Amino acid sequence: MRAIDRRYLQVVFTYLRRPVIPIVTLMIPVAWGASWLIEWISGHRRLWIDYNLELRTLRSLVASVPFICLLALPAIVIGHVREQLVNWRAALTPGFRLPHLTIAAVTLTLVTLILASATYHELAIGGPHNRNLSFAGLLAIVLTLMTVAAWWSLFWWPWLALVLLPILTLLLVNQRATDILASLAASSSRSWSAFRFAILGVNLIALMGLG
Amino acid sequence: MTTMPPPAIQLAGLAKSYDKAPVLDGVNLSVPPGSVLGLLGMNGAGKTTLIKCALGLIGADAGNASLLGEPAPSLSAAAKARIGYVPQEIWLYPWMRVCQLLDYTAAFYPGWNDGLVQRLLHEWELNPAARVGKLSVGTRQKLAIILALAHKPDLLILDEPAASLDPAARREFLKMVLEVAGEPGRTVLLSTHLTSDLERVADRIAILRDGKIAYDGELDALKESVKRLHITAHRPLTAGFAVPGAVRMQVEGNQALVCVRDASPQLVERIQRKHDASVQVEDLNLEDIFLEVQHAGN
Repeated sequence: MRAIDRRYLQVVFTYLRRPVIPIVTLMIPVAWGASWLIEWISGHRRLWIDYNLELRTLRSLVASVPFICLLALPAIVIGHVREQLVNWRAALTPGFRLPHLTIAAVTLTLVTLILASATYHELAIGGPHNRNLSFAGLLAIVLTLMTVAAWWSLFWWPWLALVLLPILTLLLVNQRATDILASLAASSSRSWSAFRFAILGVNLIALMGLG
Repeated sequence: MTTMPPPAIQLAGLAKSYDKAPVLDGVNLSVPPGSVLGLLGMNGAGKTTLIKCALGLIGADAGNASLLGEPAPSLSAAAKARIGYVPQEIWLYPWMRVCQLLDYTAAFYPGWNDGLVQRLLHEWELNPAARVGKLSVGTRQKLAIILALAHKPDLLILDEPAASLDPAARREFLKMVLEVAGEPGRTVLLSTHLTSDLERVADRIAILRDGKIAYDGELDALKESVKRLHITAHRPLTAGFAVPGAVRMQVEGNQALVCVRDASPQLVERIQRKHDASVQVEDLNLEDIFLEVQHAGN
């Protein structure tokens, strides 16, 4: 039992020993803390009345950092697991694969839930038009983004950024596309519910396959 | 009644091609437990492919490979814990420190010998706090060897392990191989170009040529049987001059240089009588034998 625990512990250490993973992980609470602080400061209008607008803009910018970090983490995790599993050690070291796959699955699940919950929280405080917001819909969107990030980590093709950036920009500025995304994130329609669960399933399978 | 242990490595009709070019062409090899087998072959002869197929790291096109009595592609965890491997191309996690990599690897092996690790780190002057990515090629190779030896494997497979080691480290490494091999039932497969190293540690030799095992047997028996005969006849040797068991032959006038596989006193006597010649028998070292076998193939 102790030997098994040691294997899992050492696999966890492989994540912590890669400088990029602790740095990106640490940026999440730091940026969230900073955004809450800015929000608190912007609430004291008497002190900050002239800078209120700028502070809100700054808060939005800072608040987006954890989301970017959370999106980067699946790519880093899948890249890390892949590095471990394509090595000959995976085939010849006793009990090598299970701890790696387990820790990666737990990490990806946590990242997915945190990212979806944080997005839900962020959008829910946005106003009454977000009342129909669906957690499953958000989960579907989050998983889609994570799968794209994970695919990217597999191929590390830097030019993909140049291809993805205009596509994502077009999606965000296009009213029809944003309507579709909003419908996906809302819980009003049964067909959308079925569709979002299908997307969830496909993404989960894709992520597991990548791992 | 005691049962015979299975061969440490058993290859039967192993074949592998890359882009339709055959590298292994029906390799048969059986390595008994407790032996130190030196695998020899020219560059590109397929030694690394043979080792990778034997370990189940790459799939063979045909044939079977088994290690410690289990099929190589589906080894149990217990069998894996008894195998140590040093690949030709050393890749270790560059972002880890030496001590971290040792702790990480140790967690997977129940029989990890920390005393041996500490001894080798000290003797090979490896700094446990050093970052793996900053180590020289030779130092990384030392670390890979420590990682393969630390769990005292029953089967140790080393693919060109001493290529980047300095002479002192190579001597220490060979001492370690002998120490590992000296324990009952321990088997070592050592692939190298350094025939002098093999002569020090190996008790069996397998020579890979043209995708097949051209020779497989005990090193002493090989050295005892393969000899170079310097033949000087009183008359010019005819075109039909032949020596049974000749691996390679050079004839010029009344002189011939013949490398034979089974050089017995009877054979020498027969040549002396038949060709009215004097025969001088030259002992060969492993490197000479290896080169003769290669020339014979060409």
